[in-house]
Amino acid sequence: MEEEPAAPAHWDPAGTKPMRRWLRKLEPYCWVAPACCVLFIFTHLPILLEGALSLLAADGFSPPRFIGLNNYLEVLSNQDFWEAIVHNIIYAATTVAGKIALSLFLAVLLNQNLFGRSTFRTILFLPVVLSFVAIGVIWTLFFNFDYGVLNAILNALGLRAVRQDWLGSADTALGAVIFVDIWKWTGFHLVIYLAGLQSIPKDLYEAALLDGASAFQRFWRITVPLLQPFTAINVLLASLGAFSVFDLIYVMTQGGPFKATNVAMVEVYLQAFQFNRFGYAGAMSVVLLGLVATMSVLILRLTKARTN
Amino acid sequence: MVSLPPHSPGSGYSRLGHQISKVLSYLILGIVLFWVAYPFIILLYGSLKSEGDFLTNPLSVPTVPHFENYVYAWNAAQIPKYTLNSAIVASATVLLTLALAATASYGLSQFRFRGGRLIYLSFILLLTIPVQIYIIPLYIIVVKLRLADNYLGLILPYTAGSLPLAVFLFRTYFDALPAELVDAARIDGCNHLRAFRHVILPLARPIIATVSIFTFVGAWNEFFLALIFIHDPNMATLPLGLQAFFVNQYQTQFPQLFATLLVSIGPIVVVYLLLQRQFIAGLTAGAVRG
Repeated sequence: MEEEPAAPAHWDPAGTKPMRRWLRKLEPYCWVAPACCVLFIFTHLPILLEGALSLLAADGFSPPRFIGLNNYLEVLSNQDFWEAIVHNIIYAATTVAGKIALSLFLAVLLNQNLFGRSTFRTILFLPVVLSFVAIGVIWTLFFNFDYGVLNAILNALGLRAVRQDWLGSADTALGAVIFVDIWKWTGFHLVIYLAGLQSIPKDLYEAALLDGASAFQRFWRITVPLLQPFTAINVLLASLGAFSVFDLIYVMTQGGPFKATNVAMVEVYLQAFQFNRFGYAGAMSVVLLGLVATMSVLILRLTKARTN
Repeated sequence: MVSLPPHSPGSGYSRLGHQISKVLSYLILGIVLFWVAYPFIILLYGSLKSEGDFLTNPLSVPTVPHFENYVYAWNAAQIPKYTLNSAIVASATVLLTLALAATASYGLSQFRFRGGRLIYLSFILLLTIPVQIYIIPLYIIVVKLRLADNYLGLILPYTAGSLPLAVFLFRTYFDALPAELVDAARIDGCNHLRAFRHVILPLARPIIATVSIFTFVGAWNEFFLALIFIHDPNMATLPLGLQAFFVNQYQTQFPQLFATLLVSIGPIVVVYLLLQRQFIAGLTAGAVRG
C-alpha cells in the first residue's frame, strides 16, 4: 500500500477550473455506468423490445414483417392460452392459500419456546435451496404409478383403491404439481413470518391476556393484523411465482396430460422455441406482463389499504 | 403468569392446558418435519439398493448397500462436468454482481446527480418483473451478441437478474452508514475510489455475504434461461444436465436416478448445512427488507 500523496500543486477539490468541474459532474455517471449497461442490455432493452416484437410476424430467420395487432387478435381467440391462464389463476390461488396458511400456522407454533426449533427451521428451509429441476425429478419419481413411493405407501396402508397415476391423469396432475410447489416454498414463507412475529411487542399479548382474550382472539386480533406487511410480501412473491411458473411444470408434466397442466409460460415457450413464432409468443408475453403488473399493483393497494 | 384470574377463559396458560398445547405443537411439527424430510430419506435408501431390490420393496431399508449406483451417477450421468459448469457460471455471476452493484450503489448513495433518482427507480421497478416475461427478446439479444452456448450468455443475464435486488440492498446499507466516514476520508485526501475501497467496502461485509448467497443460489439453480440458451451438452449447467439425463433414462432405473439426484444436490446441501444461518438470512433478505 503506497503512502497518501501530499495534495499536489493543482489540487482543486472545489472544482473551480472548468475542466475539473466537468470531470466532477461526470464522476457519478462513471460509478453507475457499468451496472446500467448490463441491466439495460439484458433487462430494460428486452422489455422495451417486447412491445415492438409483438407487432411483427417474426420467426428469427426470415426478415420480420409488420402485421399490426394481428398477433393480439390471434392470442384473444386462442383457447389454449386462456385455459393456460386459468390454470395459472388456479395455481396462484391454491399455492398462495396453501403456503400462507401453512407457513403462518407453523410460524405461530414455532414462535414458542420449543426444543429443536432451529433444526426444524433448517430442515423446512432445505427445499428452498434446491432447484425446481431436482425437486421436480424427485417428486416425479415419487408420483410414478408403478414404482412410485406414494403408491407403495398407499399399498402398504391397504389403500390400493386410492392409488393413482398422479401425474398421468388429467384430474390429479395439476394438484400434484401444486402440492410440490407448496412443499418447496413453505419454509421460505415460514422464515418471513417468524421475522414478523419477532417484531410484535410481547406486552400486547400480555395486556390482551389480562383482558381475558382467548388464544383464538389473540391470534385474530393481534397476530394477523400486525403481520399484515409480511403477509403482503408473502402473497406478492407467491403470486409472482405462480404466474411465471415454468420449471416445475416442464420437468414434471411438460404441460400434459391433455394440456391439463398447461400454463402461460409453457404456451409461450412452445410457440417461441418449438414453433419459432416469436411475434405471436411476444404478444402472449405482453398480455402476461399486463396481468402480472395489474396483479402486483392490486395486491400492494389492497394490503396497504388494510394496513392503514 | 402466577396471578392469573381463576376463570381466564381459554387463555391456554393453565398448567395442564400448557402441557397439552406443547405436546400438540411437537406432534404437528413432527408430522411436518416428516413430510419435508421423507423424500430425502427415501432418496438415500433407494440410492443404495439394487434395481430388483427397489422394485420389489421400495420403502424398506436397503439390506446390502449398493454403492455402484454412485459410481454410475459419477460416470454415466456426467454430474462432475455439469457441476463444474454450474460452479463457473455461478461464481462469475456472483463476482460480477458484487462489482457492479457495489459501485453503482456507491454512486447512487454518495452523489446527488441529474438522472440519479430515475436510474434507481428503473432498477427498483424490475424487482417485480420475472425474466420469463421478456425471454424472447432476451433470446434474440443473446443470439445477436453470439453468446448462446457460451458461459457469458448465462452470466450476463443472471447478473442483470440479480442486480435490482443487489443494488437495493447495497444502497439501503450505504445510505445508513454515517456520512462522516466518507467525508473524513475525502478530507484526508482520498479520492472516491480509495474511499470506496478502503472505507466503505470493508464495512459492507454483511451485505456482500447476503448478495453473494442469493445470487449464487439463483445462478446455481437456474433452469429456464439455460434450457433456451445452451444446446451444447458440454456447456450444460447442473439443472439442465440433470433434466436431460432424467428424460433419457429408463424409467425403471430408480436407484441410479436416486444416486444421481443425491450427487447433484450434494454440494449445495452441504454448503447450506454449513452456512445455514447466512443462507436463510441471505435468501429472505429481499423479502424481509423490501
